[in-house]
Amino acid sequence: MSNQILLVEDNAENRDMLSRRLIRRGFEVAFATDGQMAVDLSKSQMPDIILMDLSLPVLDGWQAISIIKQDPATQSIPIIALTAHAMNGDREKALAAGADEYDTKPVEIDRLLDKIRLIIY
Amino acid sequence: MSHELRTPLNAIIGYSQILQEDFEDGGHADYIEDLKRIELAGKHLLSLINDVLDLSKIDAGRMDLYLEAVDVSRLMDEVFSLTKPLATARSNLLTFSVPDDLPILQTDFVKLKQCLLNLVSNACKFTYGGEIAVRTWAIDGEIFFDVTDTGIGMTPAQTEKLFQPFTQADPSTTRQFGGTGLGLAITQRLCRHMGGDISLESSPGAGSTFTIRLPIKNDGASSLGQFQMPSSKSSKTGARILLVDDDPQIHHLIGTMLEREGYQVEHAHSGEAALLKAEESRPAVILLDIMMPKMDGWTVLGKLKENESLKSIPVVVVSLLDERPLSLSLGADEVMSKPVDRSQLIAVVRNYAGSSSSRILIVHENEDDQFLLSSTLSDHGYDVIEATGNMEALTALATPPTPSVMLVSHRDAFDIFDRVRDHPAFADLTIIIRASGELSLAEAAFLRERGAVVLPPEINPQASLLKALETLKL
Repeated sequence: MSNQILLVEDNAENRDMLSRRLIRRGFEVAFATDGQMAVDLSKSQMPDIILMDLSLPVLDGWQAISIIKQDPATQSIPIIALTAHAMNGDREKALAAGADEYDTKPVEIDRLLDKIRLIIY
Repeated sequence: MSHELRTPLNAIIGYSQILQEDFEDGGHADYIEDLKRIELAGKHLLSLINDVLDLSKIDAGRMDLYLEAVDVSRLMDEVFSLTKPLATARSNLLTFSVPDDLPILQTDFVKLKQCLLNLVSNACKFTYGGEIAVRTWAIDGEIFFDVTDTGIGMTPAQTEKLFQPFTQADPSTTRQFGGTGLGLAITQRLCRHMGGDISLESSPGAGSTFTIRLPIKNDGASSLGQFQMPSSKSSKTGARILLVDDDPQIHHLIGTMLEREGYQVEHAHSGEAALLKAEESRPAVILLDIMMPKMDGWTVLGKLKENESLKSIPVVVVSLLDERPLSLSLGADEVMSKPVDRSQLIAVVRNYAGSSSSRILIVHENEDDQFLLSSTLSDHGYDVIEATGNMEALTALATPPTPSVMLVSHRDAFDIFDRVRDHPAFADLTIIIRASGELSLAEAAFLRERGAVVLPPEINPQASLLKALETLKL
């Protein structure tokens, strides 16, 4: 069975690009387009890993991460925060909210895959 | 603003990558090169945008620091593994030396890493088939990182503009190596934002050394660049001492000892740099290490003593090796062993460079009135030497430790001016004229134009002389 990734991203192009590349590499991808949806889907789908953009509508990524990480049902799901840029403190805030890893956008697919594999396997 | 700028660019970069993957699978190899060009241009534009946004954020005071406990050896491991491929690609040997006993830093990990990555990758770009050494050490509540390369080096004119945005020493480097021309500007601002600073030492052909200094415990206050490396000190105080050693810790240690005594310290981290610096700054004394990579101290000593214009500069060998007879036979004036004893160092330097206060040459006109002047100046801590007549004065001016001030009567002044002006060795010399009568307008204009200080005719000129020296901060 292939690993399921929950991709949380409000930008349609980013969602399309990343999911095509993940599917090409054998992952199964589910989408959430805002933070609340991410919280809900992480509970109902129990994905193997969550890739979380941070600037999101309804609930932002940091809020969604901390809710998921506080809920005993979902707190074991690893989360990789996707930050726009390494310098602006998003990384620290994401890790503080409970993210397990972070990566910067635009995504370097090989680098991201390494991080996913390290966490899942 | 950042989001708006980056989002469309992410799509350009991302889709060019996806198309490359598609074409790799399904033939059309001919399109791949073009897609790579789109991707590269997109990435270059993205790094420009990121850099410009960072810079404007720092300049606007909106760059937050995320202080955390930073393990230096982990940081250096990361920097090493990220820069190793770049060094290898340019046939450079990359070495990191990190002592075991470094304290845990409290600073912003990401920003410090960015600064170091920037310096090391720059060093790789401008060095081919050479060496890049990254060293770190902690002393007196501060940590230092320096990145030394054996690359092309820079002229003073190039280094001057280096930390300004969008300036590269050689504008063609952007085409050759990429880079935004903002890296060093950002690095400098980040270092200052983190309470430290960055400094640079470079000579064409002799490579470059960038040094980052940061407080070990960041208390959140950012400095506005009070940090000055000793070499950039330009106030005309004590005699100039050239310190030659490949070990940055020695530079810090001996440099501090000498500066506390009021000497001006020039730094050279290699034999090659030492020879250039000696020509350039005409030090009163050279402190020379022996064991240095590439050109060692023996070679430097030999070259100094072969050079007509440098051979009169006293050389003190400061080394772990006990090689007194060899040192002296090769022309060294004194030998000291490491670790250096502070009082011995000061005594030796004072012996060759005079005391650290300004050295004043008094050119006698007639013997009797000068005695009072010279004893007054000595009482005020100045190092006084005397000469009778212009020939003797010129000899004194050319003999290290060279005086920084010459006091001369206005009758002699014009002749001496003719001989010393335009001579680079006397560029730093302040000339004080004792007027012994009214100066003509033409005479006054001539002297003013050459930056001379004119004391009014007085029977007891001591008071106005001391005041003039104080005004000149000498």
